Amino acid sequence: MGNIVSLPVVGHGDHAFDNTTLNLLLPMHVQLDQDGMIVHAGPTFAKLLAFEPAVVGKYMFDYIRFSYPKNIISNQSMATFFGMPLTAQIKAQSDFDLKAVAVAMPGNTGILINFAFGTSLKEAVSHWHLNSKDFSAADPTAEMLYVIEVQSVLLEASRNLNDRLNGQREEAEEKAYTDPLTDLSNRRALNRYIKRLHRRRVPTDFAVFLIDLDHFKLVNDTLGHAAGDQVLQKVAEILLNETRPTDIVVRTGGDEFVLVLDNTKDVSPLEAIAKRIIRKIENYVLWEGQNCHVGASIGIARAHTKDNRSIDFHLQAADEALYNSKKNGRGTFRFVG
Amino acid sequence: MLGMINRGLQSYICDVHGVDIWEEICEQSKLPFYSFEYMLTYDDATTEALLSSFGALTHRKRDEILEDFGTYMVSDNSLNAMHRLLKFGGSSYVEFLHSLNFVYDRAKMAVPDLDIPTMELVENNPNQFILYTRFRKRGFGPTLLGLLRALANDYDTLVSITHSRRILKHVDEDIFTINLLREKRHANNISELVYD
Repeated sequence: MGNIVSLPVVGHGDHAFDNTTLNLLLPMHVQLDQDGMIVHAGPTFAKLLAFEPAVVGKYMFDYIRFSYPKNIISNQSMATFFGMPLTAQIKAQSDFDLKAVAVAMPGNTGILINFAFGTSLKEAVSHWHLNSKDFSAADPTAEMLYVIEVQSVLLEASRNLNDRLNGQREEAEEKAYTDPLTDLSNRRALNRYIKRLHRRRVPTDFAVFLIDLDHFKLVNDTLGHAAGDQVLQKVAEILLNETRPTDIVVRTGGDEFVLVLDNTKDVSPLEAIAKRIIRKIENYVLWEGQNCHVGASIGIARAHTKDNRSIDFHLQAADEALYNSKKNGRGTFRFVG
Repeated sequence: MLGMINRGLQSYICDVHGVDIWEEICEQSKLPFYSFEYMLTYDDATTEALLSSFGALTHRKRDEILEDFGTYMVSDNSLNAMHRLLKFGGSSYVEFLHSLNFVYDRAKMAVPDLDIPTMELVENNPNQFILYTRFRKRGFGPTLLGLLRALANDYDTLVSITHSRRILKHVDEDIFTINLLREKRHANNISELVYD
């Protein structure tokens, strides 16, 4: 224990508190004389100014800056704000915000200021290595620290979990709308595409191509499923190359594909696309160097979003047209109607 | 129960034994994943499966593993919130022991569905304390033993701790008798040096 400095007593007569009591009740308080010199500091306040070997006798306003209200730079200017909430910083450690309240000492012998950590509590506790004994026993600092520490661990954990779940959700969604063999869209994606098309504010013409491969079963039976799969992948590539990013290319199952071409008013470009698809499939589908002799038949339904028909309606119409092209010797296309 | 204990075991095993061992344990325990989430709820049996796989793999007893885990949990590490919170309990080991009386309520305030033992400290004399803990999960006393020993070390205090376990109807009661052999005076308490 250090030297006992002769200290004033707060209050007078029977109502006096000695400094030992004040240290217990207000460990972060400081008492100033009429000139603003420190005459006593609570043990925790003393820790904050620990860079000074002795705090007593120092001019407090040299060490503490009051940030709100402004211009509290002396005892006199502080007197206006007795009992009001103040914010302050230690000049040498301006990162930490302090809350404070000041009162006059009995008989106007000076000022007593009690401090507390505000929002910088957690950082302050770790910076000055404080523990529960540095706070009043009737103070909720320990409880606050539990909440702060636990919340920050959990917030971090839940942020990580959310990121991971979101990644998985995106992946699952991607899978749910994709045909795994060809990476084309699947039937579910087609429904979503058509719904979106109908929701559009500007009405639009569109065309539905139903494409069925000719002689595909023969490839599967004679060259095996691996050959069949590769044929399907090559067809997928051809179809993607013949369409725009705003269109959709769907494998609806087996050797059946659906294209929906957006914003297609005229017939001739549709004919040109159908012809190119048929030619490319006939020419380019190869398996280990040999031509698989696969062809394509196409049925085309032309539609308008104003009709507000379901995709099933268009597919059924396109299926009739497809039947007609198959009947006409395959390797060709027909429009509905 | 919440994934905190499982997640803690995960950190402990990964840090001390490496991620390969951890993944092997997960596979042996038939888990469909390698990582626990703090705030998700898992079956109590999962923890037991992890502990027995880990024990079999490293030829260690369950109690031994749990005591080690308790030590690990409060290891001095600036990133360790638990270490910070327990150390906030006081500037000496005795003050820390007294603060254990409040840990349960404080932790429950922060996370209401957290699963931790209730704790009650009785001071027999200034050098002997008895800590009674009760926990719904059975057989976790050694974790607390590891924690109490690690913090004694952290406070530079020499202690001997005996641990006994009572199996009650709904909970385990663990009784720790803590004898202080030598307590280091904390010398850097500035307030004591300068002020009365």
